[in-house]
Order: sequence, then structure tokens, then C-alpha cells
Amino acid sequence: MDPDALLRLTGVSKSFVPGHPVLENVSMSFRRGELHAVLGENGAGKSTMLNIVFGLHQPDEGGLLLDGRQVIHRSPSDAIANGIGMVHQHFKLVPSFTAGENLRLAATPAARRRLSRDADIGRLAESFGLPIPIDIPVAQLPLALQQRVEIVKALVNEAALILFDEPTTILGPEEIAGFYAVLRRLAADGRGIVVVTHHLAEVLDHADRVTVIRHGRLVSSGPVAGRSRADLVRDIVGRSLELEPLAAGQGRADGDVVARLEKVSLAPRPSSAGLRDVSLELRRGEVVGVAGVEGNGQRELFDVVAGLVSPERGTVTWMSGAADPSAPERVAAPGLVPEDRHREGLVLDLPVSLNLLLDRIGEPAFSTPAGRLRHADIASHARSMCAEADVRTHSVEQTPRTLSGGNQQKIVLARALAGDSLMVVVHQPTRGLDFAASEEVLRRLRAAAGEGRAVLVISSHLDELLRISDRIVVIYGGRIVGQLSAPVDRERLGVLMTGDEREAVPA
Amino acid sequence: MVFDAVTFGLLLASAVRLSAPILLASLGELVCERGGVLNIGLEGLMLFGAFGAVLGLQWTGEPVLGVLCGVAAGAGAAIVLAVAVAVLRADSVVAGIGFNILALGGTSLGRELLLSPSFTAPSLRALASWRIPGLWEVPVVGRAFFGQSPLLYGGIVLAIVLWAVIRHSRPGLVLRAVGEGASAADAAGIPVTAVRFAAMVFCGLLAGIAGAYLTLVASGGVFTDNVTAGRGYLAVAVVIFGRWKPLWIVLASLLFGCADALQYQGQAIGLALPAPLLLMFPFLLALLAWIVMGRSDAAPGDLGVPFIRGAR
Amino acid sequence: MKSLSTPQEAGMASPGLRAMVARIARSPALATLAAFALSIGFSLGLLALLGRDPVEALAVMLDGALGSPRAVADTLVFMAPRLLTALAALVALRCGFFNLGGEGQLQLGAVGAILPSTFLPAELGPLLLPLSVLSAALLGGLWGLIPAVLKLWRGANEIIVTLMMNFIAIYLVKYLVQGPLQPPGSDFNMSAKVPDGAMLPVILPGSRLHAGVLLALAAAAMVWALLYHTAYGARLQAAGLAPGTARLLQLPMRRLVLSSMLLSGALAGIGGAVEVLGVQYRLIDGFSTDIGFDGLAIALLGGLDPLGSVVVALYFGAIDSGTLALQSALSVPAALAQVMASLPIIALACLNGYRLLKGRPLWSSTR
Repeated sequence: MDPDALLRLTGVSKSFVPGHPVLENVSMSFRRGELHAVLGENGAGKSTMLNIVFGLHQPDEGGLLLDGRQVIHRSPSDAIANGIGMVHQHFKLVPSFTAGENLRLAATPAARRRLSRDADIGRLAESFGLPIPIDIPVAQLPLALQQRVEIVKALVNEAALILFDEPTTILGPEEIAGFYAVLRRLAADGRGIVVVTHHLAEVLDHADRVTVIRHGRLVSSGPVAGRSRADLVRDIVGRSLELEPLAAGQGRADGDVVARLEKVSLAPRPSSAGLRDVSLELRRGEVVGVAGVEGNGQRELFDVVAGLVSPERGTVTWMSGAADPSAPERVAAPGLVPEDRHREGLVLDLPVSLNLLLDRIGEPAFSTPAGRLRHADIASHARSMCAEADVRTHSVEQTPRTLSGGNQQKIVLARALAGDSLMVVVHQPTRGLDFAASEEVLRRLRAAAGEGRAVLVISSHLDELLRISDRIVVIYGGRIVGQLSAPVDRERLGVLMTGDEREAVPA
Repeated sequence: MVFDAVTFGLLLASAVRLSAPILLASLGELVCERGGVLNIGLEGLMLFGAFGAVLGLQWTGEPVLGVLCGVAAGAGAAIVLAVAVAVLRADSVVAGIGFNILALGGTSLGRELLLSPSFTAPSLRALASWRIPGLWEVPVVGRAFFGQSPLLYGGIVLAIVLWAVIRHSRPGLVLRAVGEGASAADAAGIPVTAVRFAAMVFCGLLAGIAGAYLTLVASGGVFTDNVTAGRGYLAVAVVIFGRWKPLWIVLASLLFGCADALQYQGQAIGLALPAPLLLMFPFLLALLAWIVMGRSDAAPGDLGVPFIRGAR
Repeated sequence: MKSLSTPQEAGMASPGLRAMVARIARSPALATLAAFALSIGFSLGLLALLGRDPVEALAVMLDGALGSPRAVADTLVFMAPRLLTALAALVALRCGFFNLGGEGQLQLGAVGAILPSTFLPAELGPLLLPLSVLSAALLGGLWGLIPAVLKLWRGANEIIVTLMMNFIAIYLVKYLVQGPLQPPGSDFNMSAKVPDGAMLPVILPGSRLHAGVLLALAAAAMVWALLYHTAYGARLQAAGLAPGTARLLQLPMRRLVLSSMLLSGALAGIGGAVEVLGVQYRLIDGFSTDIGFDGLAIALLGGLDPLGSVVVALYFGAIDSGTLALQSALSVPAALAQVMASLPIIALACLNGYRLLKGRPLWSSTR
């Protein structure tokens, strides 16, 4: 029992699929005036917990006590009425509405009276030290400003408890300190602040309390003081963790060039930073990392290198990797691992075998000249690919929908590495994967470079980039603003990612 | 081609008269679509309204009560459709198509079982035209704009009201939010399902009036099977053509009314095209509109997307 | 601390009902069966309301649909064009194209089926039949190609475009049978009768069963083979199920959409030919009572599967022949068939909503 609790969860359980609980009997409390961090791996149940507090999901068992009184949040409006605000990972703003319209929409009747004019809203936002442009559609604002609108939204409704779901993934390392300063100020006024994150450093630097959830169960909950990085990691992954070195910096920087981008540009759009004069060379045997805060042109870079989008200016050349660059020869399309494997990587409802071979299904090995599928050959080839890539299925006729995220990603990766292409382009390769699956994916990427392929890894996960890359380029505002070779200076990388400083990029 | 002032006046009056059902229905559809529901069932709602109005007229003998029955039928049918689409998240296109076939069969059954074919309708003049003193005698345009049904005037007033409400009021803000970003509206505490339900019932009310207009004003109190003949589908096209803006929709309806009027007045102005081709004209116009204008960015962001809490 | 249980999520009353709905929704076949049961139950209730004995009505319907070889023949004859429009809807939907234009493509197919008989000498004899079917497929296919082209190059919404094109096609047929195709001196809104050589032969003497039924079944087998046993089918399914993945793997999206809509229109067009050359032998204004829309319903109720569609199309054929018997025996209006055909698809749409909540909709009209 916690007498200082503002909100308590009592034995909360939730499962979306019967028999697979996302949360199991979680009891914990959030206090006024405190910055409370919630840690856990992807899929541990952190977001589900926040969603339950905010009324987006209902618990199967257990409940919420607000100031000692039982409350039921059937929908967000109940939670808002009880003084709870939430800043979602994917912002809940109507994209075509201005900040003013969004705030007015979300305001409770009491708050609405104070906000009848845009000027009132602007003044209110400034009084919290969070100035925002009021009359531009929010879709046109940078993500950091959209986040600010979300915070003001909670403050307008006088939330006593504000929940943040992964708030720092869209911020650069330099912006993060400023962000926590804002949270500290909000907590100092007596509000409870909850931050779900998977960045340990932030927790150790800024939080008062920390709760760790693993596989839906509460592992620990208490003051940050006295906790170390190592024991938090142990709580998160359930064992002490020695990261296997992945031999960053051992790739060859002298391999043959297989792809060259020269001053590639795409016009920026409301939802995209575009690309500006991006020049990049990818060589056999080398892993190149692309670091940057999300939404700074990574998607566009992926599309251009993959050949899915033609640049508006500049050129992309794919080469056979032959020693003689004067006779470049176009080669097979690069192997691709996209950001969103459900929508772009797989066809969730077609068999694993077809997923593995979809891009080559027309080849003579898999279909007759008349176009009839050679089912037996497809199955046996798919089986050997699964064995090689360690995809665990009962049969290649299974659909990827029934597989774990790790196995799904292995399928996408196996397909990307199966072709005779000399290049692999991956975007957020470990997103949503558990620890073991992430390591496996990184190991295979490193091995692909060892076999003589060029590997481009676009990721917002700095640690993994540092471990795997021979060379890291930093993207900011659609521009390559710096390039660092292993061993990379972490501080320097952080500065570059916020665009505070630019380096001359060697052509 | 003969084109003197008198025939022009007749054509114009006929065009305005025939634009009314499309206008009323498309204003209803507008509210639905601004709330994110692509209501393909509009045709069926109009058909139920048209049938209900004649049934009411036969029961009561009162044209005004007939219209009210049409409205009730449209709204009642809309509640059924809204339970499927807004509450149960049925795909609005498939449920709408199914609903339209149900309406076609249901009203046809109802006509055989409940309507008397020998019924002589009372005078529907009060419903069909209100002559605005002084103005309706203005040459050429007088009859067209000042001698029309009160339902039509109501529709135009409603368009203006809707414009103001959608743009400048809290209910309008909420409606637009639900159509543009349902999950954001939900997180802001707006009851998305209830708003969409209400929008569909409002659409049913207007479709009911539109249907009543078709039977009581445009065909003298007689219900024939499939009396709407695709006007509900046309109204859906009009909303897109009118860029989801009430005042543009008034103009678009008028244009479609013109196309519709040609089938009656085409002969008079010497347009020697066979009737089926003239009947085809409004649909051809809607199709051409797409070809010329192409895709629109004005469409509500979540149009046609069933709301699922937790989906992005 | 005692754990407090909260109410179930809104919308589902009792856990038992909830479990039942979940179970039905999980299996497309169960969902279809439930939808049928619902429509039969509702229709019998409606009949009771109209003062008919539901048991007797059901017996009359069953007898009219399946009671004799002639009845079965009638059911199959009603099934054939509907199965073809169902295959048309299915092929397009599997590629992610929401083709609501089956009705229009069927109408154009009917026109195409008449043209060879109108313009070629009757002396061609039995050669006229394949020519007529081919011309129907061609006209229907081209009509289906238009919305695909408009979508790919103008971003036009296929739902609205195909709906508009249905009406254009219907009025085009009306125009043709009142004008160019109306035999001189005739006052009826229909074309001249086609020569014997263009007719689909009756395959069961003494009944209406014609070769069009075999044509429809063959088409179903062909679509099945195409979907599941060819590289084209694999790509088509991928494009429909996961357009993002299809883009990443650089599948030829435009070619897939265009070819599937050409095929879709052609199938619906053959449906028109089967109705005209197998049943009416002439083009008549209003010959189709929503056969195109029935096709969409059948395809969805059949789980977007060719074999499932055959089963569901049989059911729809049985409704039509059954209600026809009901009309003559108990003087129930024929419009009952429309009511009975519409209910299952509405029910299925609602069940699809439940599947959507669980993240696995059978189909979606928006992306």
C-alpha cells in the first residue's frame, strides 16, 4: 500500500488473445510530483498499461484507484474527466486541424470557456513555457512541436497525471535534456508524470522512480536512487547481459563500389523532410549506418537507394561491383528489409513459401513457361531457406501471421539475402523484436557484409548502429550532415543528430 | 435548337425542381461524409422515405403528414443501417449495397401489400409550390426560383445553416474531427461511434425528405418500384463533385438537376436525343467530373474507414 | 487486495453470446452459414407476417428449387450468370480493386452477345455462339478497364466510378433496344431474337438447363487454377493483400490491376451473354435484376474463393427459383427474392466488422 499514491493499479490483467496475457496481475502506483519511468522490452506490456489507465482498453481483471477511490475508465473521456492526460507515441492530433482547433476539440467544457479565441490558446501555451504556432495545420509542424501541442492539450484540461508513451524517439539527444526539464517543471507543480521508454540512460539521469515490466509482469518498482544500469538491464531482459561484439569497424573500406548516390534530392512535403543533395557510396564488405532522429529523410533515403522512388535531382547508380568503374553494369535489385514488416515486408495471409519467393516466383525454377507454379520445388526451396535462416515454422504452408515478430523478420531478411544482389538495405531492422531475435538479425547483417555484400542500415537505435557499423553517416533535415568512422564518438554523433553542427562531407 | 426566353424559363424551372431531391439527399450525405461515413445506402434511405411518404399520405390524406412519415421512414431505416455501419463497423460500401437491394425489395413488397393502387391523391399543390408574391412573376427566372416547393427552399436554407455549423460551431468541429482523424477525436474524449450514428440518422432524415419529394412533389403521390432510379448514388457523386462544401453542393445539385431536366424539356429546346441517353446524362456528367477533376485532397481523412480504437 | 472485475468491453452483452459471435466470425464458412440462416429465418417470419404458413412456404420453396430435375435445372440456370458476376467481383477484389461495376459490365456483355447476331449473317450457324461469347467478354472487359484506367491515371475512386458506370450501361441498353437494335416495326423494348446458332444449347431436354451453366462452372475452375496455381495468381493475391509489400518487391501493380479488371469485366460480360443467349435469346430492357450486385454478395459470402462462390451462387439460384415457385403457388410478390438476397450480405458485412475489430477483416473497401 502506498499512501502517497495519486493513481494505483490493483492486480490489472489484460489479454487480447485468450491465453496470451499482455499484462498479468500488475499492481503499482504513481505519485504526485514525481517523474516515474516505466521500462521494458518491446511487447512487455508498457503501452497496454498506459492505454488501460487512459481508458483506451479495459482491464480483464483488476482496476484503478484514483486518490483511493475506485474509478472505471471506459473511454478516454472518462480518463480526461478524472484528470488524466496522455501523450501517445503516435500523436493523437487531427492532422488537418490547426493546433487551436485540436486544443479546442480536446478541451473539457470548463476549459473551453477560457479558450474561445486562438489568442487565448496561444497565451495559455506560453504561460506553461510551451509556445506553439496556433493557426497552421499540425501536420505541417515538426514532430517536436506536435508533441508540444499534445502536452499543452493535457495541460489545458488540468491533468494531474500525464502519461507519455515513448516520447523521446522523435527527439535528438540534445533535445532530450530540454524535454525532461519541461517534465520536471510540470512535476514540480504537483503533477504526476509517467514516461514509458526503453532508454536506460534517460531513466537514470532524469526519473525519480522506475518500474520494470517483463512479459506482462511487474518485475520491480521503486526509487531510481541506488539502481545501476546493470541491474536495470537484468530486470528488463531477465538475465545479465553480455553483448557479443559484432566487429564493427572490421569491414573493408576498399571494396568495390556497388551503389553511388550523387547529389540526390527530393522535395520536402508536409509529412516528409525530403532529401537534399545526398551523396553516398556503398562498398562491398562494408556496413554503413545511417543515424538520425526519425522523420529526417530516412524513409526517403530507403526508397531512393532501393530504387522504389526516382530522385527529382541527382543520380543513383547501381553497379555490378566490377573493378572497372568505367563500365558499370546494372545489377539485380537490392535486397530490402523495410521499416514496417507487416505492411511492406510480408503478405501476412499467404504461405511462408510464397513470401520467401514472391519476387522470384516467375523464374523457371518456380513456375513453368506457361506460368503454372511448381509447388514441390517452391516448397523444398522455401524449406531450405527457412532452415538456413533459422525460421521456425511447422510447415512452409503456414502463414506469417501465425509467427512471432522475430520469425517474421527472419523471413524478410532471408528473402533480402537470397537474391544474387550485392547490396542489402535495411530500415529499423530490430524494431519490435525481443533481445535474442535482434541479436540474430544484427549478426546476420554483419555476416552479409563478411560475405562481400554492401549493407546499409538505417536506424534510430544508436546502440545497434554503433555496434554494427563500419561507418556512420548522420541524416538531418534530409541532408547528410556528418560522417564518422568506427570507433565512433558517441557525443559527437549526438550533436550531429540534432543538426546543431554540420561537417563537411567528403564526396 | 430553339432557345427563347419561355423555353429557357421552363427548362430552368424544371432543373431547379429536379435538383431538390438530389440537393436534400446530398446534404445528408455531406454530413455523413464529413463525419467519415461513406454512406452508399443513401439510395435505399431515399427509397424508404419515398415509400413512407406515400404510405403516410394514403393513411392520413394529409400531404404534410405524408412528408413526416417519409422522414420517419428514412430516419428509421437509417437507424438500422447505422447500427450495422457505425456500431458494428460493417463495411459501409458492402452493407450499403446490400441495404439498397433490401430497400428495393422491401418497398416493392410494401407497395403490393400496403399501398392501394386506386388511391386518388389529394391536392399536393401546397407541397409542390409556394409562389413568393411579387417575385415569382419575374420573367424567365421567376418560376424557377420563386415558385418552388417549400422543401426546396428548406434545403437551400439548410445548406447555409450547415455551412455555418460545420465551419464555425462546436458540433461542426466535432463532426469534422471524427471524419478527419477518428482516433485523435477518440483520444480527445469525443464519442466517435455516437457522432457517426447521429450523422447517419440525420442523413436518413434528409434522405426521407428527398424521397418524399420524389413521390409527393415530383410524381403526384404515386409510388413506383425503384422510383429513385439511382438518384441516391448520384447524390453521393454530387458530394464529391461539390468538394464536401455545402454551397458547392447546392450548385452541383443544380447542375445535375439541369441534366435531369433535359429528359423532360429536351424536346422543347429541340434537343433531339432519345430519352434513355438524356437519362444517362447525369451519370455521364458525374463520371466526366472525375476524369476532369481527378483526385481530391478535400476528402475527409478517415472517409469510409471504420473506427477501431487502438488502430492507427 | 481483492481484484475488481470490470464490465466486458462495450457492445457484447453476455460472455456466451460473445464467444458464439467470435467463433462464427473466425470461420468464413460459419459466417456465411449464419448469414444464410438469418436470412431464411427473417424471410419466413416476414411470410408469417403476410399471413402465409411459413412451413408450407418453406416446403414450396424447397420443392421449387430442388424438388425435381426441372426445379434443379431452374436453380442452375439462375445460378450461372450470378456465378460469373461473382467470379468477376472476386478477381478484382483479390487484387484490391473494389469493383462495384459488375452490373454494368454484365449489361455491356449482353450487348456484346447480341452484336454478332445483328451484324453477321445467320448462315455462320453454330460459329455465331463462340463469336457472341467472345464479343461479350471483350465488351465487358473493356467496360471494366475504364475504371481501372481512371483509378491508375486520375486517382478516381473506383467505388463511385463503377457505380456511375452501371447506370450509364443500363441506359445504354435501354437506348439500344429502343433504337438501333429494335427490329423495324416493333414497339417492344427488345432486340430481335438471335438465330439458333447463337443460342446456348439446352443440355437437359425438357428443362431450361443450358450450356451456359457448364460455361460458368468451367470459369470457376479456371479462376481457381489461376489464383492458386499460377505465378500470376500469387502476385495478384499479394497485390491485393499487401499493396505495400507488392510495391517493395516491385510487382507490376499497374499491369496487375489492369489485367484483373479486364478479366473481371470479361467474366461479368460472359455472365450477360449467358443470360441473353441461354434464357431470353434477345436483349431486353431491364433483363438483369441486380445480377451484378448479387455477384458481389456471392463473392464475399463465398469467402472470396471460387469454390465457395459456386456453393453460394447455388444458394442464390435456389432463392430465385424458390421464390418464383412461391409466387405462383402462394402469390407472394417476387420482390421477396431481393429481400432474401440482401439480408445475408448485410449480416456478413456486420460480421466482417467484428473480424475487423480482431484485426483480420475479410475485405475492406478503403485502404
